[in-house]
Amino acid sequence: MDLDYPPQVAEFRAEVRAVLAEELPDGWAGTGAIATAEETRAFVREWRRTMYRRGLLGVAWPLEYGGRGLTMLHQVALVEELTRAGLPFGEQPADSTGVKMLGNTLLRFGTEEQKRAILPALLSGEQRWCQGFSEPGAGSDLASVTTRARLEGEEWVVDGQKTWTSGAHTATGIFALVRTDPAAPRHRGLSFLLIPLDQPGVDVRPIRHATGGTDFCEVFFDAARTPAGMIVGRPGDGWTVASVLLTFERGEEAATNPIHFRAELDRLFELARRKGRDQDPVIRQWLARARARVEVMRYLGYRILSDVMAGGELGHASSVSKLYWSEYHREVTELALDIQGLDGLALTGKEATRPLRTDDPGADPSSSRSWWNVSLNARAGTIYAGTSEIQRNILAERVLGLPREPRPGS
Amino acid sequence: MRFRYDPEHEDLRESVRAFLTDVASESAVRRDMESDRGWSPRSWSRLCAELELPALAVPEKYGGAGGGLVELGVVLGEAGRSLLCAPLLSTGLAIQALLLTASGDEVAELAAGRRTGTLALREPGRDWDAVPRTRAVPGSNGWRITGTKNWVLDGSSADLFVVSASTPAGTSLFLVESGGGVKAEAIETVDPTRRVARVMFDAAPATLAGADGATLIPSILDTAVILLAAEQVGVAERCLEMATEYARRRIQFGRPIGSFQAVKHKLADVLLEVEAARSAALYAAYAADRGLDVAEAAAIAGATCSDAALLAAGENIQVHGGIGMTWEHPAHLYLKRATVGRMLLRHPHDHLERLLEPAGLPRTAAGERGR
Ligand SMILES: Cc1cc2nc3c(=O)[nH]c(=O)nc-3n(C[C@H](O)[C@H](O)[C@H](O)COP(=O)(O)OP(=O)(O)OC[C@H]3O[C@@H](n4cnc5c(N)ncnc54)[C@H](O)[C@@H]3O)c2cc1C
Repeated sequence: MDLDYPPQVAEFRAEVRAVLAEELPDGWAGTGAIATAEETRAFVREWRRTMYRRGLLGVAWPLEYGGRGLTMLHQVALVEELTRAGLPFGEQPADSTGVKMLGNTLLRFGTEEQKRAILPALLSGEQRWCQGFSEPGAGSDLASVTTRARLEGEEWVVDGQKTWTSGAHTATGIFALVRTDPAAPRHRGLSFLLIPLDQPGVDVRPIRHATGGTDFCEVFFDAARTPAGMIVGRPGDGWTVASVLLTFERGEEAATNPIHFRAELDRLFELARRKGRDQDPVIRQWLARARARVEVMRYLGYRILSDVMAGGELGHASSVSKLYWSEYHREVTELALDIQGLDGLALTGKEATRPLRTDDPGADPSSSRSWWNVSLNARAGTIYAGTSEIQRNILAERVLGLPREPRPGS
Repeated sequence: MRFRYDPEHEDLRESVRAFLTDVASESAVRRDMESDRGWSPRSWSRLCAELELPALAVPEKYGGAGGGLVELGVVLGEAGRSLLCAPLLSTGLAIQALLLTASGDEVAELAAGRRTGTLALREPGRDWDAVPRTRAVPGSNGWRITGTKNWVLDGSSADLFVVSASTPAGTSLFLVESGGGVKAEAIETVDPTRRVARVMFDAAPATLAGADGATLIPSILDTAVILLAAEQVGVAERCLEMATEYARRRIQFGRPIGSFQAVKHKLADVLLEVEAARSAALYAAYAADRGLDVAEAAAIAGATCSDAALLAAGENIQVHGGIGMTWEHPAHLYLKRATVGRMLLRHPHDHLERLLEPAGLPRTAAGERGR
């Protein structure tokens, strides 16, 4: 038992703080405190450039691909510092699917050529990659994807459709789970392909989100092409590569989620005070329950980081954590609506500028528009990255060892 | 960064668990809970002699093993799993209280297992930390204590009481030996596996253990909450295991009931709360050993582990169906342990309320009146 970070990480943390002190304007109160949504987006874009210039993107990547050769724990300390200062790590969703997911996946499974061609470009922002897993007929049941790819000479030729692809309208490429061997059993016929989006065979159509924005898209492939060398792993390895990719998000989240949720809860406390609801004993119980749950997330986070540090597979603390935070967030954002009452359903104030999870640190606690955006997004949280029902299946079957669902006809 | 048990903890857990499969088997628990004393002196002396459990979280200078609440928590978790009937929590708490007041001789006695001890803080109809009505008056041969305490763990069998009492200078902690001026009356509670008593002190001879009760008592209660939370994690874990084992085995409609999602998801939700409880109890014990945010961590562990234990105990019965409602099946014993444990020290609502003031949401006078 020991919750301290090693001294090298503590030194690095001090370095990060120094950089932030140099780069941030006087009186900085967090991204959420910037006056308008447009200015916020401009700041986020600019801040990403600053981070790149100061060498703070991809710190745990090897030097030859533009990184600094530090450890995962350094990366965690970095995102902690950014989060505490109310700063984003890059632009979303592109840097989440790009730097975090694809970048780390290529480091593990990519060829030398892929790593050189893609990793530095992810950091510079020249390339932005989106995640093409879900299809109209394959959501929770991901292994039933039907988008096909066949090798024709030196190129893969792709036909089919992906959907709910976050950020496809601004991305340069899509990493897609596609079927390359229709004869093989479900999981084994899949491959992980990297496909450029700017080509005649690809059609990206934005979908309007319930919040009104266009955060995700449909992506149609009609004889789209990508070079033969753009497969990650071997043909048939797609399922393995995709599964590992999905775990990369969890380590950093373990550290940042509790900080964001804590900041959000502080805003909710402030909202309760401003609305004169902070003495209501029922509301107090819900607020306190939320407070306890955010701390439990912090403890679960320590367990996940311990797994990361031990270098093994992420233990079941990470599946527990997804279900825990996403269900928590639905509950706490409903509480925010309850605290505001009917007047909170009249939309005033700045919109939420952080697209998923909580609003940006520093956001105005009195913005009913922000709370509404966030509470809608909280509903997406129990759907993406494995729905709550799928998480419960995983916990019941893989952790508790309960029998699998019988398949029809078996 | 290593937030998990060390190999030494796992070894400790294994040896305690192996020992308890015998000493706290289901039949032993049933025998002990129906006995007069509520626990077996023979089993207790083996726990003291062979595993040296009371000495675990005692500094070496008092003959202890030098462990902390993390280690003691491992043991209490095992005690909770098996529903061990023994004065382990009561004596452990008396020891922790006396360590705060530096009463070395008594600690050594309790740690060696020669005597048992308990806390006598709570008074009828009042909270644990209310200013005591029990009074201590100084006399020519030391102090005399008069008053009534209830919910005293193992109060009918304890040799030594750590008692809170009011003096002209404020609240202080005293040591009282069982015997003259001390009368204990067993209280029949919901939980047959844990004995509690009402204890009447009538000019009982006492020695001053700690003068500054106002500081000592909250800290002793935090320790108590943390150790009880560790026990509750064991209760919750065992209930989840029992339910899972049964769900794998029991066939209805031609398939194990555990293959039905209604059952699976119920148990996954229990697992979620058990994992939360495990993390909260471990963090709180660690925070106490390291002097971190103890009060907050204790309240979180208290609320989280109490609710997890009750949830797991209740769902265990549900998954077992009719058999779960029988006297023969142990499920009801876990439910009873969880039910009393949940309110024994502080109600979960009270734990939660305590989180708000330090987090910047104090209750105002108006809010207090509205209660
Ligand atoms: C905001 C947002 C962003 C997203 N971004 C991306 C992206 O960038 N890339 C990408 O590939 N995908 C993305 N997704 C898609 C997401 O991964 C899927 O929506 C998710 O996997 C669920 O699939 P589905 O929508 O087809 O729902 P379905 O799988 O059809 O599920 C519908 C309902 O049935 C339940 N259900 C399904 N199977 C079972 C079962 N076996 N047992 C019990 N219940 C079951 C589900 O839990 C759910 O409640 C995004 C989704 C959202 C909401």
